Amino acid sequence: MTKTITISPVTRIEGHAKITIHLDDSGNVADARFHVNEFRGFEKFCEGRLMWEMGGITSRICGICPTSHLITSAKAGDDILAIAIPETAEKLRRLITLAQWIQSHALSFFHLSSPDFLLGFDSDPATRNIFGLMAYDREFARRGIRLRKFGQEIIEILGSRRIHTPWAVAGGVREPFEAAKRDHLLAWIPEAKATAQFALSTLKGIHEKFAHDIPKFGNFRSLFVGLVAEDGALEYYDGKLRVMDGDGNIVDDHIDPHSYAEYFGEAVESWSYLKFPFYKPLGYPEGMYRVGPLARVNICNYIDTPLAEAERVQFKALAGESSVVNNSFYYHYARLIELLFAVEKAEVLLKDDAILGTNVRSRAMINRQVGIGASEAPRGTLFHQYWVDQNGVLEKVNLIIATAQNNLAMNRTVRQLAIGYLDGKKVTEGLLNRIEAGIRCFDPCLSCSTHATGQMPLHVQLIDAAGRVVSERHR
Amino acid sequence: MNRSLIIGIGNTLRGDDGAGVYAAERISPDLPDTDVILTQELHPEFADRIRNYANVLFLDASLRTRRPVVTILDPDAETPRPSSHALSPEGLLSLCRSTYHTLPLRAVLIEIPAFDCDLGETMTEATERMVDLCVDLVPEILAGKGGEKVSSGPDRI
Repeated sequence: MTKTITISPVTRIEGHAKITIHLDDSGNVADARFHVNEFRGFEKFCEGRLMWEMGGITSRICGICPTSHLITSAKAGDDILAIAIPETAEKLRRLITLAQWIQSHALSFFHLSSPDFLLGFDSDPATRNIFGLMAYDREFARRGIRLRKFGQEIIEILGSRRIHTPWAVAGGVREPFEAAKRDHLLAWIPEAKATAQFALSTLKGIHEKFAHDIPKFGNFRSLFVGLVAEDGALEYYDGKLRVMDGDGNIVDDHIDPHSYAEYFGEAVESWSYLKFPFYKPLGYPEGMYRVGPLARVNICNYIDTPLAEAERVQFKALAGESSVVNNSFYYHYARLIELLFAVEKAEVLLKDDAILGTNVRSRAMINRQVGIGASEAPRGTLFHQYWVDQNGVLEKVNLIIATAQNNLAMNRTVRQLAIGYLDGKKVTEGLLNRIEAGIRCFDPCLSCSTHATGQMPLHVQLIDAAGRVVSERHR
Repeated sequence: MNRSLIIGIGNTLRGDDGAGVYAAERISPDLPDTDVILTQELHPEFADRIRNYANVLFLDASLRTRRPVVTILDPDAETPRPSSHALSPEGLLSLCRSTYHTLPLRAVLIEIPAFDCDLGETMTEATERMVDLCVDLVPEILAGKGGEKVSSGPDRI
C-alpha cells in the first residue's frame, strides 16, 4: 500500500507550497514532489495593457525581487523599440541590479538560512529563526540588516521608491544620478565589503559541522544555465547564455537570449501550477537544469573583481576533477561569493563618473512587435517576452522566472533528502527541517504577491493510500 | 524623536491586498511631523528605520476580520515566527528591540478588512469603504486615541 506524507506549506520561502513524500509498500521513498498550489496568471492579466506599463506591473509580482522584473521588463521594451540605451543608463541599470543581488542574497543568508547553520537543523523550531538568531548572536543579525539596508538604499536612491519603482523604462531610466548620492553610497562600501567577507568566513566555518548532511542536500549531476559575458566572465545584466553539464563540459554557448525558446521548453505536471522548464536537446525530464548562484559561479570562466574571484577559485576546489560543484548545499557558498562580487562591482560603478551623465534615455516608436529581455535575477535567469501590436498594446506575455527553472532540481533535492532522512512512517522534526532547508538552498520565491494577515501556518500530514490521515502535526 | 511613521503594506496588483498602500496614499500630506512609506512586505531593515520614530502606524489588509481593527502592538506579546521572507508588524518590533535595544514609543496596527485578493488593480467596494474609514481614524490614532494595549488578540473599535 502506498502512503503519502504531506508537508504543507513550507516555511520561510516565499509563497505557498507543500511537499508530498510517496512511499512504496515497503515504506521506502518512491518519489517526492514539491507542489505549488497557487495559480499566478500574471501573463494573462497583462494582455491588453500598454507595453510601457509593464515595468510598473511586473515589478509588483514580487516583493523580494521587484527590481529584477523591472530591469528585465525595460530590456524587453528596449527590444521592442529596437534602440540602444545611453551608456549612463546601462550603468545605472547595472548598479540597481547589483543592489537587488545584495539585498536579496543578504536576506537569504543572514535571516533565512543562518538560523539553520548557527543553531543547527535539530534545534527548537520555535527559536530557529531570525529572533532566535538575534538571541544567539545579535551582532551577526545586525550586520545582516545593515547589509540589506545598503542594497535597499541604492534601490531607493536610484528609484525614488523602495518597492515597485517605475524607474527603469524602455529606452533607459527616468532620471540621472546625483554626485552627492553617489558619495553617500560609496561611504557604505567598506562596511558592506567587510560584512560580505564576514558572511563567507562564517559559512565556510560551518561546512565541517554539516559534513554528514551536505552529501544528501541535492547532490546530483545536472545541467547549469546562466548568462556569461562575451569572454566568459560572471554576468548579471546582459551577455549570452551558456549551458554546462554536470561534468563541466560546455554543451551550448553564446546562445542569444532571443533564442531561448529554441533551447528551453516548459513542461507541466497535473500536481503543480509551477511549470517545469527543461533544456530541449535532452528532452523532459532529462533536460533538468539549475540556475542561480550555483549555476552562475560554476559556468563562468572567472569573476572580474579580485576578492570574489579568489573565493571562486576556492569554491571550484570543492568540485575536484569535474570542475563543477554539483551539490545544491553550496548554493549558499556561491550566493555569498556573488554577494561579495556585487559589493565590489557596485564600488567600481559608483566610482565611474559615467554614471553621473545626464543622457539617460533614448526614445523611439514601436519598431518591433516582439521583444525579449533577459537578466540574472538573484535566483537565476529571468526572461520577459512581449508581443505587441503597432500601438504597443500587449497581445501576449511570457515570463520565465528563475524559481520555475529550478523546479526539477528542487524536486530531485527533496527526493534525495527524503531517502536520506525518512525513518519509519512519521515525519520527524529532523526530516521536516532538512527538507525545508534543502528547498531553501534554492531560495525559491513562488507566489509572493499576497501577504494579507492570516495565512501560512505549517501543517504536516501523513496520509495513506485510502486518503486517511495517519499522522499529523502543526507547527 | 517626535515624528510619526505610517507604513502602508500591500500589493496593489492583488485587489484588496493593496488596502494598506491605498490607505497610506490617502493620508493627508498636511498631517504634521509624519512620514509615509509604502511597501509590499516588511523586511528586516525596516527595524533600523522605525527605531527613529516616536509613533509607528502600520496599515495592512486582513482576511480575518470584517471590520477595521486597531491594535496597539506589544512586543512583549507572544514572540512571532517569520513564515517567509517578510515579517509581521509584531515581528518587526521584536526585531527592532532585540537589535537596537529601543522601540517606538507607540506602535499601532490598523487591519483593514480584505475580501478579494485575486489579481486586479481595484479594491472591492466594501474594502474601499473600510479604507476611507481607516484614513479618517489616522489623525486620532496618531494623537494617542483609539485602541488599547493588548497582549493577545485584536482590539475592535
